[in-house]
Amino acid sequence: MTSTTSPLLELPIELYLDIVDYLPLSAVATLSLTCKAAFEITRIWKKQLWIQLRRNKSRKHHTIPFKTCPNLPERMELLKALSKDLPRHEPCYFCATLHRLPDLENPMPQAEDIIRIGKKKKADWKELKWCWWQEHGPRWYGGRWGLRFRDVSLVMQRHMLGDGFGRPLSSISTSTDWERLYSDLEGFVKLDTEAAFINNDLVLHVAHKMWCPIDLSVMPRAHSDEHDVLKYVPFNIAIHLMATYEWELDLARPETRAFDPLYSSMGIDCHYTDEGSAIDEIDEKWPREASVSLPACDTGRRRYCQYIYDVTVRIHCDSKLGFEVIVDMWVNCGQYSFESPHEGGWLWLWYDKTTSNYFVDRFQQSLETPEWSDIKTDERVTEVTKAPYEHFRLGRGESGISHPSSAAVLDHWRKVGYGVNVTGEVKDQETAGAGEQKNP
Amino acid sequence: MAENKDKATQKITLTSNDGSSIEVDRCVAERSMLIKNLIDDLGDDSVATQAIPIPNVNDPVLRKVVEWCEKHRSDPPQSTEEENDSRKKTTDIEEWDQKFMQVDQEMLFEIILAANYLDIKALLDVGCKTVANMIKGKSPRRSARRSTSRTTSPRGLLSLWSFFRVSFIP
Repeated sequence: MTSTTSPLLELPIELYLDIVDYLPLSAVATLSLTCKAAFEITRIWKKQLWIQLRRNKSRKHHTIPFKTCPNLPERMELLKALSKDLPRHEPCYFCATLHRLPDLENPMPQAEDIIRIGKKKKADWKELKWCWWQEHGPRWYGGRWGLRFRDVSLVMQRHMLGDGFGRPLSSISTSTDWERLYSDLEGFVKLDTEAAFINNDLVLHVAHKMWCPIDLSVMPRAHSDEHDVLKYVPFNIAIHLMATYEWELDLARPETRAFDPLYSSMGIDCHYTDEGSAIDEIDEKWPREASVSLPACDTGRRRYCQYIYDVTVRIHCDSKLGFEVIVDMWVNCGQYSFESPHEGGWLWLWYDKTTSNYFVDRFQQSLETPEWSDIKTDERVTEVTKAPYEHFRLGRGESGISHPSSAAVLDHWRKVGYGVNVTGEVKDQETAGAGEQKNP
Repeated sequence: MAENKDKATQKITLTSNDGSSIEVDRCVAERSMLIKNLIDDLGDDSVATQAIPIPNVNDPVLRKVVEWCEKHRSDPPQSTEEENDSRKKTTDIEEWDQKFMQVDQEMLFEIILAANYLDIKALLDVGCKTVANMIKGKSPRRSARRSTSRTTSPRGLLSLWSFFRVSFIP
């Protein structure tokens, strides 16, 4: 055995450093990872090397980690180089890190396959469910629920590869309990999610609900408008919709008539610019309900990212029994292709809708820079927003019906004995049937 | 003027460390700052009669260096400080130089060493750029294979890697 030294390391150190000066940071990093001698020399010479290539993992920026890299292009170059040595890992542009790919020969998920959330928590099953993004943020500030890449990835593995891979579909179908509103109004909120595979696309149905079981007719009204809690309820709902779903709400537009019954049940005059919609002309027939659909824009894509969703807002109200607002959202996450979130539908999963404009702008800018041009849009994802209606139960309190807490709302609405529902007839018959059984 | 031209085409003999000698024009030899200073110190006459020994460079490398110097004999002398910044950033190499540097690795590093010894700044730059281009875009294991024969074992690489994985894999 002849112990041969590298000609590179046999160079005088000033020449070695001359060569290093010509290299970009990523190449210096890979060079310094080849052997200890190279590592020590470059560490002395480029003291900022690993600081420049780091990824900041502060909680504040948890949702969009790539923003926090001091030198993202160099870091990505380094990760690309490293992934050649680590065949099961793939650099992810979004997380600015290496993702572990599924091992087809050894299907059971390893401990590393489960992404860690935070330092203190252990990686376990529970994290694979819906969770609050930015746990320490204010809860009332828009909707912060979201799925993580890993959750959807595992579910899609199960679908594509069969049992033994990934996680079952039910792991992302959850329901929360009714939580009390942070408001003067007595009310509750609830979040239900369901998932289904439609033509191998993973389609999510997310239902935000607000339920206020109060007798609006006997609700004491304040003397002045300023202190009138009820008056601001529709307004607050509208604000919530705008913040969460980027819906540009214009009260004069026809679809906002969905709020009319709510206004009128509260005995509030609302003045529209449009004459035909004066509140007096709505007949006094109770109960009322209405639905409003917010279709996706022409291209099927919203402003900042490449997800496709469809939102329907339904408001059921009754002057005696209060009101329930249901926001149904359908998201197509696209198909699974063993790739990191370059695929179109994936991007949504990282997008925190409530981040401030500053971050949104930076997000958009970074998408336009050349390094991000290889993000593909998934062309297979087209119009799916019509299909899911058959796959999910959409009646009052019916999404997440298996959850114990949904019974309260069902009972509540059964008392009225609704026979008409806006979206699905079959479900209504069930509900009506249940109501009849209860009456005798 | 005529005197200058005579000086430029004056023949100078260089002797490598294995004894063989090469005859070159004076202006070619003066691409090397070492030889230039040496001639200035010794004076024209002694250079005309005696060969200049180059003890650190062997024959094939010296011929290679001379070949490069003859190609670049008419290049303007580089200003040292001003271009320093712009020079550092790019690793683009001229086409002829690229072909010139298509040699085996041992030769390449010997050329770099010789250029360093003879103080030929431009040639040294070309050499360093060539090595940098070889390193760029390689994974650690690949560039280890290329640049070092005595690499760390896979296990050693793994330990180095695990040292950094804290910061790279969440």
